[in-house]
Amino acid sequence: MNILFIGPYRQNDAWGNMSKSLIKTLSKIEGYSLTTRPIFLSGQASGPVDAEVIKCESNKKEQYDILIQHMLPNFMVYDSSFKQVIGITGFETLGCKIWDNSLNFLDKIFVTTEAERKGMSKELQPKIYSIGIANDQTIESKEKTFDPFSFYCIGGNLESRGGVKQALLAYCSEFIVNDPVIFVLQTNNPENANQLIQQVYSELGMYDEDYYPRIHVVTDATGLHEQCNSFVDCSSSLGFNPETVSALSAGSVPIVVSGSGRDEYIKSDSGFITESFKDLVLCPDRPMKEIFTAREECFRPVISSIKQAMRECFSSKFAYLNKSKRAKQTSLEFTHDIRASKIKEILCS
Amino acid sequence: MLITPNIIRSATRGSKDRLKCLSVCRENEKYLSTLSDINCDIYILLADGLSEWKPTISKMPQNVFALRKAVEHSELVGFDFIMCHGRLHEFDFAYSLSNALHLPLVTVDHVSEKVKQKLPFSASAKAETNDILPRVGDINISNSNEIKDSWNSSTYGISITIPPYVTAANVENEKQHKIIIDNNLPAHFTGQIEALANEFGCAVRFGEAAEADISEFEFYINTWNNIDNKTLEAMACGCVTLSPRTPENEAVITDGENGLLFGDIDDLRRIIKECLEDKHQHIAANARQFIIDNHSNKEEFDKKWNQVLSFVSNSFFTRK
Repeated sequence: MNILFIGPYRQNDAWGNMSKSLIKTLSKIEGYSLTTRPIFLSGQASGPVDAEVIKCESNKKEQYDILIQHMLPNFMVYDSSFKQVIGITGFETLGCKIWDNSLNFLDKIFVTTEAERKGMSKELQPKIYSIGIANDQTIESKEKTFDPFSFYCIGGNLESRGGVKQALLAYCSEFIVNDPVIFVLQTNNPENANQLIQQVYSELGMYDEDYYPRIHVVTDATGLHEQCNSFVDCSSSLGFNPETVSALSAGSVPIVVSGSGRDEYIKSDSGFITESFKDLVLCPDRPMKEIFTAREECFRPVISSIKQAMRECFSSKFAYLNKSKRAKQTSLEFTHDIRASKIKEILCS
Repeated sequence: MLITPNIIRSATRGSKDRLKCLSVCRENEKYLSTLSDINCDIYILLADGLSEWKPTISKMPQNVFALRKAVEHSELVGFDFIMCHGRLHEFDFAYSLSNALHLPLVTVDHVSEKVKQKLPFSASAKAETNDILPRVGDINISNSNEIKDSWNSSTYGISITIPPYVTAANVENEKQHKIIIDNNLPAHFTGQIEALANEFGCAVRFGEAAEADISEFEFYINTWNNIDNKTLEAMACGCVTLSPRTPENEAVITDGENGLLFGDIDDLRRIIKECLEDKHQHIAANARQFIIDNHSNKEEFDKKWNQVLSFVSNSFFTRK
């Protein structure tokens, strides 16, 4: 059987990371040959792609059996020359219906979590499968240092639904400048990040700027999982961020939002699950007019719960080390082989 | 949305499948007509601000189609590549279209870096070379090695030289008239040309009073800064061509041997007078021989273009 996969794997962002992970999984399905072609969902230039992913680009078959499209649904097409047409996409909110027309002509839809699957529009015709996540297992786990204790987020979505602001509000209200802590905020847009930090200081209004705990804005994500202590992923989006799996793999203890789907994989023994509440999506900076409107819902993190998680993570070295150890073990469950056999079953069904 | 069908095409087309090209070329009717026998259908984009196909220059070949709707509203699904001629304004549009539709870009360079763009003889391109150099496609075709080397385009993507091909069916026609002038110029350049045509009773190549058959003329005045297909065609018909003295034209024409070169409008006047005194007729045979030697091998021209199509067939869009 021949699979043609189209996805944004050459992009240097969360979409790109997810796509690379999917290619590595799909290439491991026994009895299937994978050909890949890139699509670019953003205006960014190509990012680095490893040889394992690129080699599938050089494949070409006379006939394909399965078309897998990993992209926004409005880019997806139905093509009757394929026996199966499958869409893989990210559903960030509950009850999102704007993609129904684009998705209803597909044969199958893949998502990464049960939360996404259950949150999808009830009017969708294709069968929806949660295919889980997979990890490269390539991150070298190093012994963590605790001075300072570092929280960090990678590729932080600085928009209102990204959860970075809530994480910074929690951090800045929980710690002060004398605490041996630091928050490393990795972003491709440092200017916007600094504006957000100023906004956080302004909204908290607790101290002069100089008294708030240290925040370090960086653009390069290299080595953060290995060097930092706690990965903060407070996004109210559904679905799973591949960076969270990389954090687990490096023994970095994640802080995630309950109900978002991350808590299907991260339990209290390997990370911190913050409380959340179901709320309307209020998103003044929505990227498209029709999406992230108040017709949808999301799980918004409770800031005081993030504060509590940060404090616990920082103050009990023993508890932290236990969670870190368990996080590494948990990451081993997310292999490409396990996900590949799951997908193979679905493809045959 | 055309993007995904284009990507699917890139993975599913066979090496011998007929390709579909979206062309943003303008003022290239003659050149596009020479592509009539390659394994490709060419869809030229016609929109506000872009000039129409001019049938007086060349009849639209069977493999060329005019796309009058915006690409996103077209019923056509799936293209294989974008083609553009030139590195200035045409390139920017073609490049953004290539990115938007996820199609590889094929450029055709008709002029060298020295003149930067095909322009009327008294105009010059207002662009810095360093700004233009990065403007290359995935496959870059040049009309000559001199053009290719001048752009350093061989360092980017795939680079190939394909000398233009022209046919000269009416070479035996009797030379009944003296001079014909290429008046296919933007409106603000035609004044000078019309004055000249009136002064010497020259026929004009295009428009209402156009003379269709250049093979009946002894002299052809090329008003562009390069030797384009129209001029090559005139040479093939045994016309003596008069071209502006530009680095581009000097690379093809040796003054007094296979053509004549003029410096400015006064110089052109002087040469026209000489032509009317029958001083330069001997050049005609050399001009025709030059075309036979360099631009008459259709088989080679089609073969090289089909090679390019074969590269395209095996390629797909990747953002740099």
